[in-house]
Amino acid sequence: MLKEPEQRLEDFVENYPGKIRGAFLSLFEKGANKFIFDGPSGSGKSFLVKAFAKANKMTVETINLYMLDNVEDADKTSLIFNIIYNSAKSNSLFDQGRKLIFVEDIDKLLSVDPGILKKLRGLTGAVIVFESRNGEIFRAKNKAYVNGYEIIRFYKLNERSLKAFAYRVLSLNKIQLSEETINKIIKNSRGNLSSVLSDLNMAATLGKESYTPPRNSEDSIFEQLNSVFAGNVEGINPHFYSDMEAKNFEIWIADKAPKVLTRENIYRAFEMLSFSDILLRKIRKQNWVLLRYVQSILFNGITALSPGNQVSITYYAPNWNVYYKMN
Amino acid sequence: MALWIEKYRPASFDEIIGQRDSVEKLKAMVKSGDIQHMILSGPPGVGKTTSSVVLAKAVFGNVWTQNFMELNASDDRKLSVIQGKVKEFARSRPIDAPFKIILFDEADSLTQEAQQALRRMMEEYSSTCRFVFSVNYQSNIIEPLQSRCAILRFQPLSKNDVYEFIDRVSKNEGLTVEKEGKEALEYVSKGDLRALTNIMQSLSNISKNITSTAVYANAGILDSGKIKQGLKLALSGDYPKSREIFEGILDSGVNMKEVLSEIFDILSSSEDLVEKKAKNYIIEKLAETDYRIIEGATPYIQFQSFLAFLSSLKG
Repeated sequence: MLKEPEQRLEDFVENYPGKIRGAFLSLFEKGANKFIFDGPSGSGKSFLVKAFAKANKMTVETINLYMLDNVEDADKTSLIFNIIYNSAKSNSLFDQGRKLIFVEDIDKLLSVDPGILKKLRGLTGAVIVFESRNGEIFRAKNKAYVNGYEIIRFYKLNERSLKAFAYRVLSLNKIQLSEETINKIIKNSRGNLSSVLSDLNMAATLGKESYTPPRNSEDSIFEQLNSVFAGNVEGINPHFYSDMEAKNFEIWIADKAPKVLTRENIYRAFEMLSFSDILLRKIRKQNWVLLRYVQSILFNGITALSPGNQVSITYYAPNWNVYYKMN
Repeated sequence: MALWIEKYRPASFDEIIGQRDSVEKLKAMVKSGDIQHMILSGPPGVGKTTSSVVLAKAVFGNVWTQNFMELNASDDRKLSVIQGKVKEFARSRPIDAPFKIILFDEADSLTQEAQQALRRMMEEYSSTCRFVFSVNYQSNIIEPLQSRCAILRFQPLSKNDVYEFIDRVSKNEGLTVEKEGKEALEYVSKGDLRALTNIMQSLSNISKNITSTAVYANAGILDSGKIKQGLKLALSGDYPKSREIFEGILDSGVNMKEVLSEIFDILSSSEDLVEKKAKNYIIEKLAETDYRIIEGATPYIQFQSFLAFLSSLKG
């Protein structure tokens, strides 16, 4: 296993060094002691918690609310409150320092009873940090409850900061990897630091430069799209590993098809897409048999429409929010 | 009599068919003695569980059973049960090894909540335990778990891989399998070696010679010849006759779902039945039929409408 950099505050990785960390520290110095860390997974939320506690000689207690799932719903509210309250109040004989309580994650708490947040507001002494990943806290109905908690926002890490991190880990372990491999790992990670670490570990274990396939099979999407639009899907692997992957593929086709196909074929293509989209919606309700139809429609169906010659498409991303507008 | 699926379960990395990339990675891990948390993703019967058992054997040697635990989907998937089992297993020190391995077989069936809880357990026990998840669909695993794991992707097996395996078994058991029989086996098992081994074992009880008809008859799969004939009739415009044939098939107690799935397989694998353009069109219609049935429409009517559509294609 690769050695990871020590958990020091100044080693916290972020896109604009010092910004998130600075905001957090200054709020703390002003006396705030209840925080919500909001951001995608792998953006450094728990790292900052641990590093901060270490720097301030606090003991961290992590509470995972999902672990409490085997309790009847009626009791959950008081149970969750008591657990957080008690661990904030109790202090072991041995650590005299302040306590930091890290609660994974706030979405669970909100789904049980957001009122707990209100009750906890008066708690003094310990520092409490809630983790949030789905942005539930920004919903209007939850606004009143998160009032009084400082929200610190974390973002997906960009390639530059991930690269710096990767090189630091490698030099710490005295391992060398080619620039190409590192770039690939970073690209595959999609801004998730923890993924980078997992993949670096793998590469280090393999011990030589090797093929680093995408973490998400959907990342080989351009190869597949090119084959579809060029009218030849013989050589590619048309297996969708998930319904989301199929959905993505659909959106790319919807975005690029008008640039490649001729008029009446555009209509045919969209008819197919619209139908495969309906099927996909059903798949999400556990009808996995339908996935093969989607596969057949998206690969063979669309391929049959293509003009057949080699096409070159510039792959800037589709306008995702147009396609993902929720109802 | 031993079950063949256990008898022919690969005992070493070299016996695993296909999956060169994943096996190479696993080997490297064993060599360095450094196992990560992992997600093994791929269709059923291509070697995910086997690879993890082989991995455990390679890492732990004789004491592998003490240091390896498998939690199957058939076990209780209640969080409290998982929690209890993991705790009990992970709490004690590994025997003659730096760590233990827990395999979550068919982890896609774990609820989101259970996965959220697992994330904490993975951290808590990472000094004594490695977690391996085997899944059919990677997207069913939540992102925080995915990012903690190395991802090994298992490919669907190619025809030649399957033939290689058939040869291995038949040579060992003194069976004769002709080319057509092999094709039938490959077709029926759809690249799932576990299903394939079971079919071969049950067939070997009847005869040492495995023929394609025996395969189709035994596999519990309907006679694809009959369905093909029905399709051909429908495509030639003879709706009444093809309906008669399919009625016969359905009357014999075959599920409509199976018939549709069989038609899909026939259409997508055959070259001579219809021309390519029409094929895609037909598959789309077939999907629609299946979809409507899932939505709750009457299977019998939907299927007839599909047949009628087929016979309308002929001018």
